[in-house]
Amino acid sequence: VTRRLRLWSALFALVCVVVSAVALEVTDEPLEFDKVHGVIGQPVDVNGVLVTVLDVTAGQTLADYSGDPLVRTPGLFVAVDLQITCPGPKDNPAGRVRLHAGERTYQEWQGYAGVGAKAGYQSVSRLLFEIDPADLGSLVLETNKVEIISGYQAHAWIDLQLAGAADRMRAEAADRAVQQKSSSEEPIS
Amino acid sequence: MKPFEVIWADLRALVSDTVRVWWRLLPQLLTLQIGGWLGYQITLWIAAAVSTRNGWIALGIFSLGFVFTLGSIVLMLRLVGRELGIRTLIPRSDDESDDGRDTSISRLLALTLLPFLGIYAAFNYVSQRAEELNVRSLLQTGVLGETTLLGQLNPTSSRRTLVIVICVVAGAYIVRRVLDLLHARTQWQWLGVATATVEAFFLLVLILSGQRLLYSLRAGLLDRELFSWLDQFVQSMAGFFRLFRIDLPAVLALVGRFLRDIAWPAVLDVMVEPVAWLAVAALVYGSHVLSLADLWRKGEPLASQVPIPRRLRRLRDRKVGSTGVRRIALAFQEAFLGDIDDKYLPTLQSIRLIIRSGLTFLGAYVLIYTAIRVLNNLIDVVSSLLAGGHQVDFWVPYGSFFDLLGFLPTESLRICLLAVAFHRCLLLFKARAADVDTAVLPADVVARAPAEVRS
Repeated sequence: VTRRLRLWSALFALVCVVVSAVALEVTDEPLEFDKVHGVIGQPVDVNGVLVTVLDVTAGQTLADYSGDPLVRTPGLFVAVDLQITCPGPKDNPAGRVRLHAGERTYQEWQGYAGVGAKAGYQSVSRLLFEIDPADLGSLVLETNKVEIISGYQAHAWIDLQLAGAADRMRAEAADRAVQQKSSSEEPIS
Repeated sequence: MKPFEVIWADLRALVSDTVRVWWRLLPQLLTLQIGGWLGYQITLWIAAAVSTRNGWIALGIFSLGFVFTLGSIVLMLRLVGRELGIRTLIPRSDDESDDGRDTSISRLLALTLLPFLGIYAAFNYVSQRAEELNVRSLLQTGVLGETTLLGQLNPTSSRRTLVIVICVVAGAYIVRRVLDLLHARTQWQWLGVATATVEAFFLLVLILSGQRLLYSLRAGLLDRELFSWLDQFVQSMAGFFRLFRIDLPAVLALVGRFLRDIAWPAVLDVMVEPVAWLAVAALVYGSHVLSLADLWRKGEPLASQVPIPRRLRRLRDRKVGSTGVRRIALAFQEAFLGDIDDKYLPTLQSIRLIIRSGLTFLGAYVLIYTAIRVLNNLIDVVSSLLAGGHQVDFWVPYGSFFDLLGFLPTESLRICLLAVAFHRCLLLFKARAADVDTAVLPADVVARAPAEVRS
């Protein structure tokens, strides 16, 4: 009986350790961030700052600020016009923007440009991405404030809702140029 | 008893007793907990504010935070231990000296804070708190500021800072030992608390300053020379193993990853930490409790104290007959090494005893301990979801209050589990003693005692 008890005790202890290790591993990961969902054309309130995707255009050619062709891609250039409205009282200085399509993440074509607005102002920035044309219909824009020290942050997660228009946009893209644009900022009206 | 009955008895006893005593003492436990938490938060806040002017003073103030945190844990353990009657469970022998921990809170803190600080350091809690102070300080100075806390304490920044760091580390150690000796001579209890504060300061300086030295050491020596030597060694052995179609570097990398990412965290977090906490918690109830439990286990007559370690006993014997310089040298040796004997050997003794309390008990204890930690993690997730995502200027003032939502119920539950587990540990030892009255023991404990005891 003692030998059997020892065997069962050892087995029980082992099961306890394994179950405990798995339970801790599963629950110990902190939450990544809070997704604040929205759709194109509708403002998304992220901690008092309104983020709105105004328009999306796509083309195989990228034109510079004056409209001259700059580069052509076998994929697609996508331009997203993003408006940031910052009622205050604090400025909303810098934000990072990315595009997601399923498991894929696209960074800005020009590297990190950043979007933001001063308190009492609204800004509009054109953000450029080079993507696989197959991903056009499932694009979601993510933007969040860049903080060196951060807690559980809120990220705007805006569905560009291009599934219905994707085929048409791809067909038109061969002859279309996407133009670079400077950011603008003006007081909130 | 059948195996499943033993397992079920341990699980049921630990869960039901923990919840019962937790519910009964909840108001007192929460009061102590909030007191400790408030003390820590206030010292953190003041230390962060001072850190922009003087990092050393900030660390000194922050050290007090550990006294508040650990003090509340010790007092909560004492409260639950009284409710369970841990001290009354043990018959006292006539020659047993009273160390005063039952009657004086300051005496209890003086006797127990250092081992608690030891376990706090061993399982990275001191590092986590130091990081918390560093983050709070950075929010005031700015990451690129000239007076960041780590910048002020960085021994590699200039020769002057290096000299200051060495002097502070050496000075803190000497002050701590002097305070410890004075405490032993005068028996003035608050000196014991001051000793723990200086020890916390010493550990903080070692962590915040020493990590820079470690980085330099790693970058200069380990990362370049040691690892290139190891790489050359592995590559030279790889040729031999290739004869057996074994890719040695790949196998070593796999084993290393398994040990680093799975085995080591599992052993440390899941097994070592709960057992170490239980061992240190046992110190609140007195070292003689441990020795008595040990003696019950062996079935020997009662003795009152943990035996003096052999090295210290030898030292004291030699000191009796010595004079002059030799006596001073021996006194010096005792002063600087006595710490291990006085504070940490009872902890090791405690760990030894708890490990021998049986695999079923240990398995059940580890499982319930983890369940409480998992509960804390889940409450953290829920409270974060309820608060929603925010920027850092929200989390700095309010984050601690959200942490409190999980900390209040789970920390008090954990403390109750520690006391209940130690209580059951004592019952299991007691049941093994030959001359014990089985009428005072629970039925499931008696049932698994040796046959000669039951009869």
